[in-house]
Amino acid sequence: MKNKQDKTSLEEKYYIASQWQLMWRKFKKHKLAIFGGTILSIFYFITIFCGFFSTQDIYKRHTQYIYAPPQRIHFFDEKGFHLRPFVYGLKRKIDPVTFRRTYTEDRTKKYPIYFFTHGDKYRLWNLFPTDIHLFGVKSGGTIFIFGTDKLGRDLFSRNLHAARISLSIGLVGVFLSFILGCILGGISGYFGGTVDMVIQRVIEFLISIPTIPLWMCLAAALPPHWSPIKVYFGITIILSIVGWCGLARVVRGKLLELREEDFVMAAKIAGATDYRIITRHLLPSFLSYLIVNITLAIPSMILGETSLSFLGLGLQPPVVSWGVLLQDAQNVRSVALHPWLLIPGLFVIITVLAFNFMGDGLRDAADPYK
Amino acid sequence: MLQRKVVIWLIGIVCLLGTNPAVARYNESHMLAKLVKEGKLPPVEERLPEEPRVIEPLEEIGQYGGILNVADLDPYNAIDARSLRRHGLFRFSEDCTEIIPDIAKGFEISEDKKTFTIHLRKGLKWSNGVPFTVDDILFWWQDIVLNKELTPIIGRLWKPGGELARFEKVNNYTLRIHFAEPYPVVTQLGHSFGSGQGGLYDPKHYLKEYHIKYNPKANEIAKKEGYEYWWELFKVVRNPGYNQWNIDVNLPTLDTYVIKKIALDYQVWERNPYFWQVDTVGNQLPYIDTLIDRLYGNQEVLNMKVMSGEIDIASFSLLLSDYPLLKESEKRGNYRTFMWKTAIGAAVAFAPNQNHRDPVLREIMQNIKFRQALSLAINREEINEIVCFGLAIPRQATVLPTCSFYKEEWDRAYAEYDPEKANELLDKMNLKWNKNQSNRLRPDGKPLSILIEYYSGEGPRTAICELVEEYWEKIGIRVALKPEDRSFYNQRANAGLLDIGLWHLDCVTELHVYGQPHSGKMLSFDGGCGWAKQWELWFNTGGKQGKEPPEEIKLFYKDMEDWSLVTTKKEYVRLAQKIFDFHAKQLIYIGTVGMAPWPVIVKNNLKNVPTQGWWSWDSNFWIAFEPAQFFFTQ
Amino acid sequence: MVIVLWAVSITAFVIIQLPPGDFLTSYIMKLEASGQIVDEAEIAALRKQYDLDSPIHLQYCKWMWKMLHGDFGKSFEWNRPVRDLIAERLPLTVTISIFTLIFTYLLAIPIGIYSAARQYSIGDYTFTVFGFIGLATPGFLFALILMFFFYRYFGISVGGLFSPQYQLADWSGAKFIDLLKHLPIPVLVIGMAGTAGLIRIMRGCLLDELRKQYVITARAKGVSERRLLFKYPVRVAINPIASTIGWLLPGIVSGQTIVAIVLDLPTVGPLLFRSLVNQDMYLAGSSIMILAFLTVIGTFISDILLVWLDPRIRYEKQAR
Repeated sequence: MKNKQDKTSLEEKYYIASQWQLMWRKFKKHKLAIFGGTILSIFYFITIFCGFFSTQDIYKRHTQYIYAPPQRIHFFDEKGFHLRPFVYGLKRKIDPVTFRRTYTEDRTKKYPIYFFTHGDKYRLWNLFPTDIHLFGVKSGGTIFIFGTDKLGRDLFSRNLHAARISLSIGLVGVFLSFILGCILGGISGYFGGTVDMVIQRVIEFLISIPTIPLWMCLAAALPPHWSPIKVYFGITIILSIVGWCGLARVVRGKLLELREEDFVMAAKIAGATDYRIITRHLLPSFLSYLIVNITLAIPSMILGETSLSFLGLGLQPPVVSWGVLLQDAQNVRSVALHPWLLIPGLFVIITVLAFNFMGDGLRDAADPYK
Repeated sequence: MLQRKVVIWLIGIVCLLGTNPAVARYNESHMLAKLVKEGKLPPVEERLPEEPRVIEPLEEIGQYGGILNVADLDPYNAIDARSLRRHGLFRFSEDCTEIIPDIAKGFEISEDKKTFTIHLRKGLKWSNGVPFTVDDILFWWQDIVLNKELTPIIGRLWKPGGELARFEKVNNYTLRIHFAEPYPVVTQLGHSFGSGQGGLYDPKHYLKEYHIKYNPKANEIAKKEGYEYWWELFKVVRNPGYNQWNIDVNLPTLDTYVIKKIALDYQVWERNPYFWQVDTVGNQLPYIDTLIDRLYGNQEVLNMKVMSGEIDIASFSLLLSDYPLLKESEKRGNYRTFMWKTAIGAAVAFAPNQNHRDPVLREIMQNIKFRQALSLAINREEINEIVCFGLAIPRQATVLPTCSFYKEEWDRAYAEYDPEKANELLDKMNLKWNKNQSNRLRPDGKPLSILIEYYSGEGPRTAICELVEEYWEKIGIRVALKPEDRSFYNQRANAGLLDIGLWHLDCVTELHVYGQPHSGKMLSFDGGCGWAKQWELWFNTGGKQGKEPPEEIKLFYKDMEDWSLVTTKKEYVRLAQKIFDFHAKQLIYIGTVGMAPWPVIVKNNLKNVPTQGWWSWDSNFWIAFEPAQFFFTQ
Repeated sequence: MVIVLWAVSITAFVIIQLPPGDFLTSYIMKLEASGQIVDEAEIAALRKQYDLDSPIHLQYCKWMWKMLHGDFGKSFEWNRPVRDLIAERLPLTVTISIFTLIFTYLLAIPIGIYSAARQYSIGDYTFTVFGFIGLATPGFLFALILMFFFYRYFGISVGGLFSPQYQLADWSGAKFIDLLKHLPIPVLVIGMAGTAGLIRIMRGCLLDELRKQYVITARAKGVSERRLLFKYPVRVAINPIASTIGWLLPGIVSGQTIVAIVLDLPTVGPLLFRSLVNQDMYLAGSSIMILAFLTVIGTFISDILLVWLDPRIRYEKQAR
């Protein structure tokens, strides 16, 4: 009896659930999407507290540890298992012929890893000075989970800080193209006629300019006296100039479809203003599509940033982003001798993958009534 | 057997006779011998000059044949291929202390240093068989340099004391150049590029066709080719040799190889049948028949090609940081890897802007103590370790030890790492620390901060700057780094807008530092750093514009003027030491590491290539090592 | 269409002029980089010769006028007509494009169909993950790593499209085989992202189609699964892909510039990139124009293809 009641209430819930609830249910079924979403939330969470999660200052050099490979975290030593993980010290050897630096584990030196330790000073969100890090070793020891770069800087910390720029460039860039795309696409789709014609031609025109020359020239046109922060925004704008066209087309197409629907007609007859119709009736009805498109647009922004860096047009050190870190890695030398410099590439792939999974899931969920 | 003995005997005799042997017969490459047989080419004896230049092979007499594969990254800087084939009337010795006649037979500088005499080789011919004479040099001087359309302004080198040089033809093979003042700086001509084709001579018989003076229809020819005026086409046809990729295929040359084919990504060069060098047994050089220069789109592909053994000789396009990789791949690529030295005084030299627009900073920068402190704060050993595998020399920015007037103390002037002393000096200057001891303050109370703007290409600039940023922050100077595009950096430096300029310090070899009055790095107010643009303007305008420099700078300027006109060796050394003493004391340029190593790779079967050497623009890269005698063992 | 092209031509011209300096500034930098000292006078003369001092609108008019007469101008850097330069690079560019296209379609369509027909199967998941990885990997990184691994483990020197001995040779059977040997890496890297994208599109379209009433009806009537799939849904789902063919045209010529730069392929992309870096005005401008022209043509072709493939659109247009 009770069981039956439960069932009916469940069914009832299904019927009275809002659109968003239904979407959530459907989304939950998409395993890859949940997986992607989880990864992304972890990434963004770490990014927000990157000073805390990183083990040291990103500009701190260790001259004795240039191009040191990632240190392995051990639980076992000759005495057996230890609950507290530890790393061995590194012993450097410079090859007398090739001048290559090689490192071996120095088993005589053992550095246990402590959590919530005091380390390099940093300012959380540029506001609160602190020196607490999630984990680290006592002074005298080193911990390079992702190895070090050409100046002996810890790549783990640098990767985390780079994530802050790279991940946010995607969001900011998409936000900009979202605004541009929505406004122009919306106008184009809703009003039609000459306005539509003009905007469509503009889009066609922008799309027909090859991207690389467009990027190169816009990047070269950024005033050279700009500070890194301004360059950052400049580059986001460049990326979104190319990005908004696609979004505008989606918005327009969907609007054209919706414009003919009965409820819009009804609103019009009832005397609603254009503004009210767009914001109250049209926008909500295709918001889900927009979200899907946005999710799928972010990865292209992140990839765009790395491509710009590859061409030498993007951000420059001392700023760290994944693109900037990859600039150091895109040579045969790194692939052959220091492959750990390629780790930022892995991050890019995982992030883009996660966004795509999530977008895929959202797309399936976007139309919950299907 | 008997024949072989005779040959050995011959070699012995030749060696005894030393240079310029009266060899009865010359030998030539099979490729050319075939053409002679077919009657397409006169015999080798007729092609060589009366006294060909004799090159003593480095290791052994070579064998003819083979293709030399070379790689370059940029048509404008196809340095490897260019320096393997080009020649000048003269060239600098490897350490740039001596001028060696190359195409020319010899030269004399008169006692009063006012006359410069050049002797050419009789019977030397262009690559098409036309004789090369003094007329080709005069053509260059009278019809190119003195032609208003082709040369609107004549370079400073030819006008000591403001009066134009005078060229006098003594006979077909002797030329005298007269100057109004004693002028030994003309030795700069000895540089192979300056005295090469387009630098001191041009093929008159070929270019006449395009010159309005000799061909009234020159304008019409130019129009037909799509140019408006004759001189536009003339310049294109003449090609002074900067860009190897837009060379005219028919242009005669005196160089080792003649262009045969140009495609977008490679060039084929073939031996010059009239080439004027022979080895000690009378084999016409070069040994190698063909040179192929491939243009690669990026560094990594070029590295891979080197590592897989597709390139026979490479250096200019390699990077020091790739050395471990190149060395490890030696076996696979079947080549040897050497480390040569670069003739560069400082991989990066910093020059504080002594004419800064901000009066407070200007005063600080002009203070010797400040510059000394900056220099003492730099840990040169560490830079050497990190950037140059510890193989460069940590030193102050100054001339190379190969200079005859060199003093060791210049090297060491304030070049030790002593941050405490640096701090002391800054304290003495009354640059106080701020409250939380993180930063020094300027006299006006603002934090003392410097923006280092730099061009990030060419060498390990970013790495060095990142290190120096840290060193200077330790002594309380706030430093910000800003990598810039090259043209923008130059624009800023030229306008004197930088806080501190930085460039690599080249032109520090004997003949180079001397041969470039007012344009060489250490003898100018710019040097790629724009450290005293207002003073420079003051000197250039005779005191009408710019700012008047202090007395010591005026004296420094006068010393430089005097130096370029000295006539005795003693005076030469005295003034040189005065000038560089001043540099060492003043620290106009703050050095880091100098004479950094440079990787060179040579295929295992390519012989007669030295294992050690100076690798620099100053001696014009490969030219100093007589590349015509390189050969492949079969 | 003409208006768009005209706008592109202006933009192309402005774009080239946008960065500070011009060809000569970069030319002088290069000379100085190798230690040569350039005379002020020489520069002034060159400036005049290259016509860099006249006002921009005049330069533009000259350029347009010449282009309308089939003269793309001369490249400063190579001192050769732009037309010749592009003609030298075009055949191989087209070859690579065609091979990439074939590769992309051969892989994407069957996988797309499989993924849709067996939605949520292990195969589908595998392909989905691989497809997404293909989309997510930055091409330049993948190209570099692949290049190194081929060198290390197969001893093949990648980069370029020919072995040294064939690069200079005339066309022959052996040279063609050599070319074929060098093609897999570029085709794989260039085609990677495109294939992944197409798989997604194909799968999505087919899934939509399979949910339609006529499919359900057909299934209910007992049509075999195979026939059910290939008779109509696949044909309908291929339409949008066909419409992308036109778009691929310019994309493959220029879009893969980055990969082409890494692998140093003798195609138009790196040439264009180089000309932009050096501000080689006419070469850069003309290349942009040609690419833009291809894009416009591409759009046109895909419209026609769509009409031809999908009778519904044809009728709709007639009805109007």
